[in-house]
Amino acid sequence: MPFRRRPAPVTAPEPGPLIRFEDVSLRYGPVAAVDRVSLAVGDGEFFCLLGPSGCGKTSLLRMLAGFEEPDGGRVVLDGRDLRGVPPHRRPLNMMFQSYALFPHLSVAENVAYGLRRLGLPRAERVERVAAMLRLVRLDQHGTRRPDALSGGQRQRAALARALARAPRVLLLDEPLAALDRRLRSETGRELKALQEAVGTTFVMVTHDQEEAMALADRVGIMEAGRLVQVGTPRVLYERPASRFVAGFLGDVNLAEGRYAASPGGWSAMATRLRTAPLSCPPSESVPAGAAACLAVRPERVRVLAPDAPRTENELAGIVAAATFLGAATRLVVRMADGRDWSVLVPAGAQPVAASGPVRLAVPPEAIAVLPP
Amino acid sequence: MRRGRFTGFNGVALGLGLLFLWAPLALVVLYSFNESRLVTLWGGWSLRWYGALAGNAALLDAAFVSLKVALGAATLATILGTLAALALARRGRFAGRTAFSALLLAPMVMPEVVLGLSLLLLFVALGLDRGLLTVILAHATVAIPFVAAIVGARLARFDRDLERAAADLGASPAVAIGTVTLPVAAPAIAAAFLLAFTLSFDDLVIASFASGPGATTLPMRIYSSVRLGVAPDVNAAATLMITVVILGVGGSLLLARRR
Amino acid sequence: MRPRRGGGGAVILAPLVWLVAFVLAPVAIVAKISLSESALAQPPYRPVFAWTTDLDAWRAVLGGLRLDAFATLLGDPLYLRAGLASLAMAAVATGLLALLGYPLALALARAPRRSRPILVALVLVPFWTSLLIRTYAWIAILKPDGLLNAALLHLGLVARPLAILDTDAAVLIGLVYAYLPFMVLPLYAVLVDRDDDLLDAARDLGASPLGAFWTVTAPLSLPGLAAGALLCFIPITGEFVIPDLLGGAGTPMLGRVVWSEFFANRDWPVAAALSLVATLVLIGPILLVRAVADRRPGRVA
Repeated sequence: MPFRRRPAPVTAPEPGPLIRFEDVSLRYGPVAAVDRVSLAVGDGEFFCLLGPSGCGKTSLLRMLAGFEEPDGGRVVLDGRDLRGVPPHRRPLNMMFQSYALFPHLSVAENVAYGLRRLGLPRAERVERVAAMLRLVRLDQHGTRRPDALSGGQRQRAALARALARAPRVLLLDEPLAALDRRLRSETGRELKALQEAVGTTFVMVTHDQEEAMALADRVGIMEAGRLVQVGTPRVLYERPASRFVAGFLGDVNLAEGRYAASPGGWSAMATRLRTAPLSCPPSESVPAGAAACLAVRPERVRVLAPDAPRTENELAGIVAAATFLGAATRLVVRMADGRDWSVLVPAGAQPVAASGPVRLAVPPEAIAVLPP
Repeated sequence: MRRGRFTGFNGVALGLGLLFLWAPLALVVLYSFNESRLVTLWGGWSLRWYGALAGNAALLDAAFVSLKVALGAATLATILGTLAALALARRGRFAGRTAFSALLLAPMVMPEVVLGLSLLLLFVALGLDRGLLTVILAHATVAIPFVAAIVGARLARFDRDLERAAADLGASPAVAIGTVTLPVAAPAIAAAFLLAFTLSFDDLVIASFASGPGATTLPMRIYSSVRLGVAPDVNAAATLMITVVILGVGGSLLLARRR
Repeated sequence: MRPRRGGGGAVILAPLVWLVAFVLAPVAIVAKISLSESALAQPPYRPVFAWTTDLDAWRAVLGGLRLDAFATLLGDPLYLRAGLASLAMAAVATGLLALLGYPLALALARAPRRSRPILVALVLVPFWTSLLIRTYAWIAILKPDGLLNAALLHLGLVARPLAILDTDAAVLIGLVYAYLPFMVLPLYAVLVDRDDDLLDAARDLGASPLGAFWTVTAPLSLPGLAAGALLCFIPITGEFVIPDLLGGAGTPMLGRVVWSEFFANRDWPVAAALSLVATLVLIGPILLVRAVADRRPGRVA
């Protein structure tokens, strides 16, 4: 493996995270592309910024790379304020969405480009280029021009070029977006394995929630310039902090109501789904007695057999449609409040009629109580 | 039905158009091999006028002057025009941008006679002796906007991420331009050089104003012999020039195909 | 806050200095000489002032400015006629170029994709050969004992040789011939980009082939036509070589008049004044070119 972790500095080991955004803002005229974002990314982490297009995630990445300077706040890398440091003096490298491979240079020359700028002796440079090309399985293609490579090969060439300088941080702007669907998951797995092997901190930007969940250690979700929630994929999926986050990461069923906290044991949500309140976990973000929104993932809703005994948090609905998906069947169920819920019935479970009344149950721990 | 076929109307239009464009050139070539001095009379095939051309020291000298002028002017214009295109493409909105681009466009749109006259008056005012140097300076000035237009068009399509990638990989702005921008734009720069060369090699009007004794260019020489009457050895010179151009354009076309 | 800028101010410095020295300064000198008195000397004008920063000198100068050259321009109908003749010739030539260039550009754009580069090269190559030589070729064709007349006489279409050379007709032929690529290429660029689906849609909505052309292709190609017309009109107005070699004494176009004032009459102030006026007349179309050129990249972005 050509990579060694950089030796830890002997003097004053820097405690805390590798990258810190402190109250960073970026404005284009009156529009705030990034609005007072604070974020810390740890050494060796695979961090992903996720959000719809125009949410400011790419601007945040570009401020880290040095292509934009923040209007307010500061960006700190390794304890050093990056303000005024031009891109070519920052110890991080970027993989561009278009890959931005130099069309006039061969793959090997592309990988060598950053090493030349370092003034590395020729022998060392050649050796390093060869090692990088082996790492991304392009050792047979070093003499080719980028336009003679396939999409996947180009992606790997861009990766090798960005990693060749052994950056402190690798920035990835939509690294899989230019690949076709079939290649994407395979390349994603390779990317993850590579990150684990080299141990470099990865900061990735994507709009694809599946990609973010599959690759990242932690995900930061952005909406309209603001960072709305940061956490592991599991926490974000199971404990979203807002309706936006819940809806952005996969399907979710919602119901408005009023939240009633009860110290110890389950709290309760009064909704129009049924006359009795539903048991739910205590909410961290909604005060007792306030309006709230209940969120449940489709796969957490259970379908009860017609003759099953009464169950906690039972709901009645009418099946409006059933779609066979292979691994599961998706039901569209009209609920008492007039909304349609999506319910996933795993293959092998008892079959459900494609129309007519149905009994559902929502385990209290599957419910998230969110601000309205 | 429409997708790429020679239909009757299009075929006729192409045929007539190309005939119109090529017939005069074909006649020049044909008559360069005519034994007779008269255009209307075919005196049989002959290389007589090529012999006359080889003996026409004045014409050959003029061709050599034109070659030197065109090389010098095209080199200067390519450097300055490329810099101007870079400035316009890379510096965004700077103060005086409009004035700069208007100044850049001026030599392209001013009548040749006017531009030639004003340059001559400048050289007189500066006390600069007219000769090879002044023609080079004048031709470079004429060609700069054309170079800037061609290179600028290429830079407008240029993927800015390539420069960002270079910066990201440790290249300072100047190094990024030298190692990425200019090499990627090289075909456009080469085309611009060729155009600048042709403009200079072809020019009669500007050269007539800017040139002085001892720096008579080929077009100036041809112009004076044409004014004096029939000059069959001009046909021979023209044939050689046409051949060079066809070989050059054809060659670059073949190169472009192979890529 | 703003995106970082590549390149320093040094990039612009060299071309800026060059353009100021060889474009701006000469125009200023032309303006200065046009206000001088002509003289039999070398150089053949008497400067009314030397460049100075002395305020009194400038005041004296303002009193001594000579508008003689401009008075000459107004007084002698030759100059006005030359200006109008140039504009008229340029307008007629541009109209002919549009009529002839459009079908050619259309045919190029609709040729099979593979043969298009070769056909475009065939249109371009004559342009890359010397204008002087191409014009010279037309002399051989158009003169009284030239090829055209020989052919016409041989076919019995005319009894006596036609006098074409040294007429406006010859100048028009030469202009159309020389500027055809300038008209065809911008038109070709817009026509080749055409979207077949648009034509199919027009046909689907009931347009005849000709109707589809008039309602879809023609309007969409107007920017190319405008660009081509300006690329032809402006240089033709100031053209020298073609009217000089093909035109007769009755074709006093601006370029020729400036040339002869300068080289033959050695009246530098009048030549300079005429240059100034010619440039001013062309400023309108030039601004149009600028507007078109500025809009182009914006459309792509």
